This record gives sequence, structure tokens and C-alpha cells, in this order.
Amino acid sequence: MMHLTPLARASSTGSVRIEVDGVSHQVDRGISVAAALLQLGCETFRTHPVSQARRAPYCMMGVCFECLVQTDADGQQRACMLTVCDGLRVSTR
Amino acid sequence: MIDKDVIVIGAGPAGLAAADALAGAGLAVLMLDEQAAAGGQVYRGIDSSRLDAAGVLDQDYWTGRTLTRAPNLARVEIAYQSKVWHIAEGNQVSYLQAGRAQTARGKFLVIATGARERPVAIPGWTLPGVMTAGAAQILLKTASVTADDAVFAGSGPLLYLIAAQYLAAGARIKTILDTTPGANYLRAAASLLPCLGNQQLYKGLGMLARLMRSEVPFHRGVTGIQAQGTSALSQVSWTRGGKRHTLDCNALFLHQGVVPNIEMPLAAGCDWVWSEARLCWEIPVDVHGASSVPTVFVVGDGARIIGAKAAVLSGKLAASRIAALAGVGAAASQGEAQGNSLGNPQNNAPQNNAPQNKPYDTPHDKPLLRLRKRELRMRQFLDRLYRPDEASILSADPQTVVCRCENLRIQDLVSTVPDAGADLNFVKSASRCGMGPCQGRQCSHSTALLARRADPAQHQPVPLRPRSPLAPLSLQELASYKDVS
Amino acid sequence: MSTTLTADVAIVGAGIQGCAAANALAQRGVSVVVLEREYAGRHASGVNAGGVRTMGRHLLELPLALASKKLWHDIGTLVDDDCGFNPVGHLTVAMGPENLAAMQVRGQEITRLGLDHHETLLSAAEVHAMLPMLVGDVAGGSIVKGDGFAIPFRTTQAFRRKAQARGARFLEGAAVQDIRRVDGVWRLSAGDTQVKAPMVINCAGAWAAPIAHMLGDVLPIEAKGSMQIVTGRMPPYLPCVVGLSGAPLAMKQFDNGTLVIGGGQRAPVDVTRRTSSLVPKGLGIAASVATRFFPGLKTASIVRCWSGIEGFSPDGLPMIGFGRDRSVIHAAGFSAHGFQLGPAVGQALADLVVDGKTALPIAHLGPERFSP
Repeated sequence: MMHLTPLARASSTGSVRIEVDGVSHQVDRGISVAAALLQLGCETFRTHPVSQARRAPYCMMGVCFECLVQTDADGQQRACMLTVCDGLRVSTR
Repeated sequence: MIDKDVIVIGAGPAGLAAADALAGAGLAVLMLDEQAAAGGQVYRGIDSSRLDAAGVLDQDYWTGRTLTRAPNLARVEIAYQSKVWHIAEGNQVSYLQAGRAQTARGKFLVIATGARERPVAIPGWTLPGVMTAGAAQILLKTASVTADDAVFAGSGPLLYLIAAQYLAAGARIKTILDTTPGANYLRAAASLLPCLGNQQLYKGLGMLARLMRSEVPFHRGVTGIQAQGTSALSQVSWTRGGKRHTLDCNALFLHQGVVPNIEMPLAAGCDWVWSEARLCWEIPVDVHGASSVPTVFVVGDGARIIGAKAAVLSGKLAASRIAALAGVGAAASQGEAQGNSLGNPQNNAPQNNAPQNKPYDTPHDKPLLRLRKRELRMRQFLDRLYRPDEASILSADPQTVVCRCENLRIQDLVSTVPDAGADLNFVKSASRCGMGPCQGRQCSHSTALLARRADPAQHQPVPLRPRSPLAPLSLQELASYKDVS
Repeated sequence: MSTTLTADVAIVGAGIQGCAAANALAQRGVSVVVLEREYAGRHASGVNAGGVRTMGRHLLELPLALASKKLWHDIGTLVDDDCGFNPVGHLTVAMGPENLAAMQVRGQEITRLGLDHHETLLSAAEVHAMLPMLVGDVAGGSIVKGDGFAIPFRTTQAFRRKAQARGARFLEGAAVQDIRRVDGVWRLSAGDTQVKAPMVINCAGAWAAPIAHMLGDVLPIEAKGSMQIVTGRMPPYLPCVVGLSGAPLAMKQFDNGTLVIGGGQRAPVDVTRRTSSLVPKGLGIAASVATRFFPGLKTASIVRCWSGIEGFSPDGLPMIGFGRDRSVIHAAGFSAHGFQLGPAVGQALADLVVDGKTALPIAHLGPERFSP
């Protein structure tokens, strides 16, 4: 599993609370949901509708559509184009 | 309907430079970007960065702040979090701004939507844990994180850049695998001479030297890269020196250059061309970025990969031409004095449909054109040196996934290729390749190569016709257009 | 270097009508050359909503649709491909009592005509039971079993392949530029190629009028576009094809989970450049009707919108039959509902060529009804 390490010399930014698959997590403010999920060790964002294979982000810039997650209010969204905010609830499949 | 003189799509270096110069010339400008802040990809996160003191990103990155903080931008109406999903004739742009339906119309359109990573269709590239060098950069710039024990594989300046940034950040890199074909060094040598005065060359060489001097294993002449694993990446393997090598790995960053995002220019009706030299589609534009559609300008990497510095120049040159056509600004009065060849500068459009190949000869443009030439000389060298080996961007293994969205492999597509006449739209209709949410962004370059493999006489593979929405919309977001005129 | 081909019949246009005709003719041993400007199924036949319905058809068209329905239910045998045909049924929801009343009257008409066709009336409760996700007051509905959908491009290509296997020749990338009659034989020119045939069938879709003109006939066909919306793959949502009578909406969910939403929102087309453009407002209307009655679709992700280029007839009915001269046959003006008719039309056209007449019910659909 990919493991991400924060830069020691980066300035801090505060955190927000999001819920992933029903579990609450504290994540850095201002980052994308995709970055947050990867940092939380989430390996699979979705199951491919045709092959049933597990998929996770590839491009992190909104053009590969592998990072699709389910949100409460807005249906399926690209996690890399969504910024974390307090109370955000997403689910992976 | 919002009416403006100019609509700029994309707030990366080209768009920012254009918008700033246009506003400086007194034109009413609306700039749209899907992100929450300006910077595009190269200066991603620059205004909210936590890395100022970290010594990880070099001066080339921080100069982006002169663009995002350019003085005339205060006069530009900038709409962030704006998804442009439709472009109609007459430069009518439909976009969703933070979920609200909007339509705007510009006398001129400046499309500055930049580039994306070239898809690297190798076995296992769809495994979780395989990402692009650009993805590593985005994680670094926006989330201030690095991946542990990463393997960087591929060819091109951006690969070495992110590896160098990892080094500067003190992150451990497991291995660098360089697929730059040996023959490229000789091919590129002839283009090297004109670059000797360019500081970028020495910066790049210095960066490469630092990498090779570091403890990181740096393997050159690599071919046949494969990502392996069951449900996620666990190993990477490659061929070098006639032998097959394998390494445990759970973070693999691939890179084989970037390709222009041609979707919006195509949606705006611009002509396209396939470049054999750069193995991608480009938008033919003149030195001012004028496309085949009068009033539509395509600047920066979105027309052809030219790099950030040249992107800024292209934005300024487009602004100069537009200002002259609109009859405002310094260039216009110069044009009047010289009796410019475009005819009456009060017209809002060039006099003919074809891109003007003659440079707009004003003192204002001259230094920009000179700098642009210099950048293009550098670019020619880089293009030749880092032209990807075709097998490195589309494996010969028929099990390789080409269309990620529909999970179509090479073997699923080959039967459609002979009848296609290198028209990717046929392949799409016959196989669903390109019908998924990415709309062909991850598969069309690979499919074009497949068509060329089947019939090397096909020099101009036909790209997918763009289909709105150009960015994903929900049905209720689309529904909000029922009342928009 | 120019090429000349000779055949018994030249067909202009490789849409579903042209390919079905080529297939039926080749099956009967008639030599056929099809001239197609682009490739088979490039336009309306390849990009329509895929509806295979008899529901709601104009009574003059319904008998032909019923004949075609039988062929659809054996499509695998017909063209060696199931074409993605899925007879999930077609349900039309009556939004208000006047719509339901119209359905009742129509039902009586169908009975009176003695047609073996049933648009079974449903109560509001029955409609809600079939479509529990439907929100809003409805008066009832009607349903046709055995109607459904298929995959348009795949179907057109299947007819083409089968026709080819039977000996029909297809010239693709061959735009017909000139047609003239010399010594009782038609000569069609497409670039360097000339095709000579005593009979010509005009299946040129949205371009059937200029082709008709070259053949000495006047067909009042207007090219228009109809917009479609398709979602990404979704979990099963619609159990059948759904239409709303009293609101512009038609929806179906394909086997791969994608949902196509149409309903007749018009789009401008350019027949010369062979392009269509979309109208955001019209798309918005289609989307808002869909979300109003099916709020579960509000967050559905739209992957693609498009519009085909189709030939429309003044009375909304196709023109199928001989031109002024019996060496010319037209099959055009299908007005966005020709896909389902294709298999039967192909057979009817073959009958006209070989026997000079057909038992298939096209008598009221002849192009002569527009002649002064």
C-alpha cells in the first residue's frame, strides 16, 4: 500500500473533520479528498463497474476519473477535484 | 448572459498572462478556472502553499506568484470553481460556477487549458499505487506529502524535476528508471547548439547531475516496464541490458511527457493536426495564438507543449493581437501608425480565417517574439531528446488496458481498428472506447498509436469529436439551464 | 484511376434502412452496391436513442412496426448478432386524465383495426408499483410488452456485415456527387468511382432530398436534430423503457447501466458540414423533466450529450415507395423513429425491387402523397 509522509518543513494549516465510509477522521485543511484518502491509507477508491477490479487515483488532476467517490449531496464526484471541509461525508465502493 | 470583450478559459501561466495584459489594455475580461485558485498545474497551489520555507520547490515555481499577483488581474472578473461544460458558436461559454448555471459570451475567446500527462499504457498501469509524475507533484504542492520509497519511471524533464524535489524534501526514492531511448541523444544533438545560451539547459543538467550523484539507483536505457500486483501495486519490473529486473514497490510514478488538452479548442471549432514529432494532437495557431477560428485564440500548452515560460509569452502575444483587433492598447495605435496588414483595427475579427503566419510587427511584440523563439529552440531540443519510445507508451502486450473507463484492452480493440481508417470516432462507436467519463482523455492517444501500428500510412489519426459536457455535470446541474437564455 | 461497378441495385446511404435493404436484397440473390459517404451507421442510425417500440406509433405506421417487431424478436438469426436488443417493455405514463383518455381512445382504434397489438392500460397505482421511484401525480399509463431497446451502431453494423457476407458491396467514404440516367441505367458518381445500376434506392437519411433531386424526384425532407443525454454506469434503476405522455421525456437504461434520456428537444444541424450543435436550454428542459418526476436521478452523472442529424417529413411519417419512375425507390423521412422499422423496411424494399410490390403494410406511406 502506498504510504505518504508529510513534509517536516511544511507549515501547518489546521485540520477539518471528514467521514469516510462511516468513520470519522481529522485531515489537513485545504487538501483534496483524494489526497486525504491516500494519506489515510485508503488503497481503493472504487470498484470498476466492468472488471470489478479495484481502482485508485492515477492523475490527481481530474482527467482520469479513477478517484470517483460517493458524496451525500452531490452524487459521484472526482475526489481529486473536491476539497475537504468540516462534516464532509464520502464513501468508497 | 454575461457579455465580455474576452473570455479566458484557464488560469494557468498562459491564461493569467493573457488576462492581465488584456485588462491592462482596457478590455473587459472574464477568466474561468475549474480549480479553487489560479496557477494551473505548473503553479498549482502557489497562493496557498505551505512549502515557502521548506526549500523543496525552486525559484522557477515561486516566480508563478508574479503571475497570480499581476497588477491588472484586479480588473479581471475571475470565476473560480467554474466548470466550463459547453462552448457554442459565437464564443458562448456555458459554465457552472460553484454549482450555479451561467452563460457568458465573449467577442474573443482565449483558451488556455494547458496539458495533461500522456497516458502510459503498460501492463498493470491501472493498479492502485500507480500514478503519474504529475500526481506526485500535485500531492507535494497541494498536500505537502511525499510517497515513501517511490519508484519514478519514464522519460522527460518533469520526471527528473519531481525526483529532484523529492530529494530536496529528504524523501527516500527507491529507484529511477529512465526510458529515454539511447538513439534520442544523437537525434537531439543537432538541436543542442542553439540552446547553449539558455539557462534552462544548465538548470536541467544540474538537476540530472544531482540525481545521478545521489544515492538513488538511476537506471537508463530501460524498456518493458510493467506494474505488478493482485489488487494493488506490489512490484515493478523492467528490462535493461537484456535482463529482466524486478523490485518490490507500492508507489510507482510514471511519466512520458505531457500532451495538449485539445478538447476545448476542438469544441470551439478549431482545426487540429497530429504531430509525428511529438506523438500527439495539437492546435495549429500562429505566433499570436490565433487559431483557424477567427476570434478564438489558443495559448500555452493547450495548443502545443511549449513550457511555462513560453506559455506566458503566448498569453501576452495573444493579448497584444486581441487588443489591436479590438482597437485598444499600445499595439493598436502602433498598428494604425504602420497601416497594419489586418485592415481596419476597429474590426473585432481578423480579416480572414487562416492563422496569420506573418508576425505582428510592432515594437511591443518584438521582444516577446524574440524570447518566444528562444524558448521554442529549447523546446525543440527537449522534444527530440524526450520523444517517447512507442513501446513505452503503448505496450505490445495485448492484455494491456487502453481504455481505463471501460476496461478495454488492446486485444478488445484490434478488431475495430482495420475498419476505422484511423478515425477514433469509429473505434469509439464500435467498441465503447472513449465512451466513459474521461471522454477519451486517457485512451485516445493510445488508440491513435494502435491505429498507426495497424496501418503506418495513417499519418493523421482523427481525434474524438468533443462531446459536451466537457466537464462532468449532474443531471440536476444540467436541469438548472432550463431557464437560462 | 477510375473504377466502374455494376449491380442490379445501387443504394445510397448505409444507415439502418440501406443496410437492411442490402441484406434483404443480397439474401434474394440481387447484386447490390451501397454507396456511403462516411461509414455505416455514422449518423442517425448509429446515434439514436435505441428505442425499439411499437408503442404510440401513428396508426398508419403501426402495422409496419408490428411486422418489424417480429423480426426484432429473431434478430440474432437475421443478422448473426443480438444487437443488444432487450425487450424490457415500454411504459408510457399518462400525466393527466386527458392523456389517459387519449390512451383509451387509441386502444379502441387499435382494436377496431384488428391489429395484434396491445397497449395495456394501467391504473395510477399500477404505474407507481412498476415505477416506485416516480414522484408526482399521474393518471395512469399504458404498457407494451415486447417493446424495448437495442444498440443502434451495433445493429446497423450487424446488418452491414450480414449483407456483405451475402455478397453486397459497400463503398464507404464514397460521397455520391452526381446521378444521371443513361440508356435506362442509372450512373452514380462518387469521386473516381462510378456505379451503374438499373435501380436506385434512396436511403440517404437527412440528405435524402438532394439525392432525390438527382433522381428526378422531390422529397420534402427537413434535416433536424434531436438531443440525447447519457449518464455514466448506474445501478439498475429503470425496469423498462419509460415515456411520459404530456411531458417531453423518454428514458431507458441499457444493460451496461447507462441511462439515455431524450424526449425530442430539438438541436440545430448543418447538413453541409454534417454537424449538429447542442442547445443548453433544451438539455436543461429534458433534464428538469427527468429530475422532477425521477428525483433519484438528480445526482446522476452526465457523461455525454449529442444530437444526430435526421430527416423529418412534413407529416412525421416516412416516405417508403417508388418515385415517379419505377426505377427509383425512396425510404426516407423517418422523423426520428425509423430505427425500429429498419428490419421490415429492408424486406419491403427488397420486395419492391424483386416483385414490384410488397405485402408489407407500406401502402399509405408512399412518397407520392406529397406530389401535387
